[in-house]
Amino acid sequence: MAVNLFRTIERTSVGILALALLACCPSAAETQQSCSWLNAATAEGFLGGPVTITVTGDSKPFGDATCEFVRQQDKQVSKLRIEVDTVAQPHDAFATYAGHCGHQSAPMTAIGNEAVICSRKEKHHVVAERVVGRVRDRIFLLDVSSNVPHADQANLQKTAEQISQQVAGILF
Amino acid sequence: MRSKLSSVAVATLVCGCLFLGSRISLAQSDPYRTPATTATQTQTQAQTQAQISNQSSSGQASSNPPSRQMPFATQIRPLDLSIAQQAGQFVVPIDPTMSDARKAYAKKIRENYNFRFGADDISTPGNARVAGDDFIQPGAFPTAKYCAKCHAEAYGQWRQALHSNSFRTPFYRTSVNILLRTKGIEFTRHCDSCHNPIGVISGGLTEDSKVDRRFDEEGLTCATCHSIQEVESTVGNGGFVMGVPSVMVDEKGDRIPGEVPYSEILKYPKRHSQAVMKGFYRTPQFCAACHKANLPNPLNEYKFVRAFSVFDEWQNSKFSQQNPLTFYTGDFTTCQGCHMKRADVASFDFGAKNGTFASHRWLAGNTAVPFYYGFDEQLKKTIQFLQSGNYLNVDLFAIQKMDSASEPMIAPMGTVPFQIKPKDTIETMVVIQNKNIGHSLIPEVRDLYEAWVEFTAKDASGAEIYHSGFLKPDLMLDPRAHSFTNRPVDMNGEFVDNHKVWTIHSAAYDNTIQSGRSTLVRYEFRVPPNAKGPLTVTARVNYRHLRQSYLNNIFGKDHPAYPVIELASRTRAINIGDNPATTADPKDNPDWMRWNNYGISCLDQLQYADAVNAFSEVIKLRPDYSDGYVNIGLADILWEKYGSARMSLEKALSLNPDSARGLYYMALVERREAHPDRAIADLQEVVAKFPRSRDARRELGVSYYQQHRLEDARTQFEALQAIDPDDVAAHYNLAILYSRMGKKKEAAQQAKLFETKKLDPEARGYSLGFLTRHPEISTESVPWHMHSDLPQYSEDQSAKDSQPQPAPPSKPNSKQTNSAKKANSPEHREISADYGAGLTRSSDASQKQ
Repeated sequence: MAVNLFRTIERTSVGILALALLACCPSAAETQQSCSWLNAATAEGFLGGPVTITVTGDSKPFGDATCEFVRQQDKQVSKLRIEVDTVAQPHDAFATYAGHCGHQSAPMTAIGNEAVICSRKEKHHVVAERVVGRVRDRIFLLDVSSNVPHADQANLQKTAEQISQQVAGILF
Repeated sequence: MRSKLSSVAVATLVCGCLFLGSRISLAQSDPYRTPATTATQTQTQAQTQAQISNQSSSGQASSNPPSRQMPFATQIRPLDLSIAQQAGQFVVPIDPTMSDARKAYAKKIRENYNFRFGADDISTPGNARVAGDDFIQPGAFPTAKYCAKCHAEAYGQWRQALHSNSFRTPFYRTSVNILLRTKGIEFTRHCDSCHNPIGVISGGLTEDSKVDRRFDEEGLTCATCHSIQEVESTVGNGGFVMGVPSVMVDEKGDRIPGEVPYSEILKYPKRHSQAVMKGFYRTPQFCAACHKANLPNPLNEYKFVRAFSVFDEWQNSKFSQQNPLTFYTGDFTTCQGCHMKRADVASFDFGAKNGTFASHRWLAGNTAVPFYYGFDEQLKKTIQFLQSGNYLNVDLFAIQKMDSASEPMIAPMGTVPFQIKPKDTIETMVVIQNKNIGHSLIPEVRDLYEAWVEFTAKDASGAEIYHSGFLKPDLMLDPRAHSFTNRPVDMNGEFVDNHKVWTIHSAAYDNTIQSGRSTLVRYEFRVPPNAKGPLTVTARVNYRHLRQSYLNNIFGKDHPAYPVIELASRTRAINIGDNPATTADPKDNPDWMRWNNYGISCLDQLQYADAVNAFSEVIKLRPDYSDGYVNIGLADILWEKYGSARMSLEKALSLNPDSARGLYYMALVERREAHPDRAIADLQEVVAKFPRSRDARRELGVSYYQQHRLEDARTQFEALQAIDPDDVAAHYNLAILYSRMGKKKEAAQQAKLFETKKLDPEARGYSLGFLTRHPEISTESVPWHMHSDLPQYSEDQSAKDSQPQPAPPSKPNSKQTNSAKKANSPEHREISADYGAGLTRSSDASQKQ
């Protein structure tokens, strides 16, 4: 009994300590509520309804960060993820990032300096689009996916293009 | 305190009135002085408030709109979701100004909107306004695709045009993003009042915005321009008042907000037209709402700085028929007359008439946007537009052999025979006439756009003897090219790169050719001893949108080469030996006009003797041409030879007693000769013929003032202010006049406006700092200068060496010098300094081209 109580106190203390550390020492992984690349209202517009937002990475405005927007209605989930990285060798880095799109990627016109888009088929009837783009020395990786029954690849691709335009625009 | 300061300011003005009257009399008699054009936020807001009040009271909603229950959800873009839910999904609020849904939306936006520039002030530093003067849902604007159903032609053109891409392009975003990141997003309301007005009036331009920004993609969508109810045309910076978007009016003529079923529009096409078309949409004043801009104090936290004013340039051109002082006359043509020409329709459009439609491509100079977006048709048509219309005339007007001071100028080339020998040093005089552009070359932001003269001299084998205005391997322009660009500088005298306009404190250099005027560019080269003729000499005006360094700023250096367009050119062959007269090219101006244009360019280079000689040649060829005599009179006035000027002007008026231009300049002579009544009589006649002549109104006001006719003077200056609310002479003199009339409040207001808009006396210092570090631009800023690579211009060698990017070995150096004796004389140095201080030119005079 005493041992259990001690362990409970120990666990609680550790938990409090951990929380205190998190509160006192904001880290690069700190969660934010504001995304420099796309505001929540616009993400809601693209995803069709209210979203939750998670931002990780550099907490400075326009610093390298990743934003995730999720719209969930019961089992229907639409997601948008935007990752932005500053790179030293933009051309090489873009080629590497674009490699994630695979050989079926298609070049996009008038998105940043350069960009490619590719469709991805995921499990459980999830349709997904990925865009890899570059604005000067910054690479953005955009993933948008949905398992909404009427979601189709063509519409999602159009959505991905429009969001890419927004992201590239703010990166210029 | 403020009142005390104002009183002091007014007192200072009153004390200085005699001086200013004299100064203005001199300054404004100078036809090169373009009236300063400025505006203030105070005035803008007051005027706009009044308009909004009118709009609010007159624009009530119909109680019986035809579209209330229309099941048209799929066609309508959703509002911001939370509001859409409140209002009923996809139903646009009915009330045109402040429906409950709009109130709720505005209230929500206000919760965290940055009202940095004042409570309830939603658009400062821009001037965009919307009926009700409060935030409006972006979803209230019908999308372009909604309009496209019946206007496919317009939609297709608009999508490729600048207006639909006004916000999203990297060429804009790169600059406005710097403002956003350095000063704050609220400052971008200045730019976005024109580039993205929905962003402004929806309240999207604030930190942590809650506004759905999908509308960014459409920039200036159909419903932005077609919702504008009134314009503050002479103010700019988005000086419009937008109504709540509507595509239909009810039977009473009241606007019905939002989208309606197409069937309703088809049933009541006139009511649709009533909602989306206004007579003033066809006027230059409509365009002026955005094609006129200033940098107000709230933006730059410095003072009012003029950015650009295409509207004023047009109003001073022959195409407005409002200015008696233009050198040539022309048919009345609006902005739309050139940029929205009717063309055959390719797609179905209910707006087409007789198979044609007013172009919604707004063809102009921007090749960068269609190039970037891959809009090939827009790019092709833009290039065709730039190369059509006889807009520019390039004239290889004269040569002068420089080996002997006694050699006469050989002009006009092609008409006068001459001889050339090996080793001759030849000065070639190229006259470039802005013949049919209704504004300056190049208009608006000359820090971003790049037009320049490329001059080549080659021998028979094609070997280059001389080349100026080349592109270097990195595609940067020859720094010594004669360019029609400017160099705005900040308070450190550094070039304001990346279009950071909010840091501009002065213009170190600003070269352009105003509408109807001409410029003279001089090139000198030596015929090689073993050169094989004929030599081929070519002068061309090139244009690139945008400047290479700005493209590099946007994309880094790894972007594709952007198009360089030849706007106009002229080539002549020069034999080694005899050169007989040749047949004129069909595009060449007649010889009298060639002389006239040369004379005009000499005026602008302050070469008054040469100008008088040139105009004398004009009247030899056309003794009946009264304006030839007026031009001589003008040159004499500038030369301060009033007696000679009188003789020429009397001759002009004997040939054409109704010449308003002759009367205007005669009035200046009369006033100088202490005949104020005659001067007033002449100016009254000019004003009667040209009631919107800024110069005549200003001079008449000054003359009345000098005769103590204060009420009459006030009438003229108020009329001048109605034409141009930014005229500093009007502000100054009205401040004095109101003060003398006991109207202290009005006097203080005018004094304050004058203080805001007058030239900063420190500005020249900022410019000089830049020019000291950039001798290549310093040389170009001197009115009379030579482009040459000959070794005798050794004093320029140091300047050449100091260039940051020397020309490549494969290209001959192009360098310019003002070492010609004329330009180095004390007289010219003094004049040059005046020119650098901002002496600008208004358009002048009168022969239909």
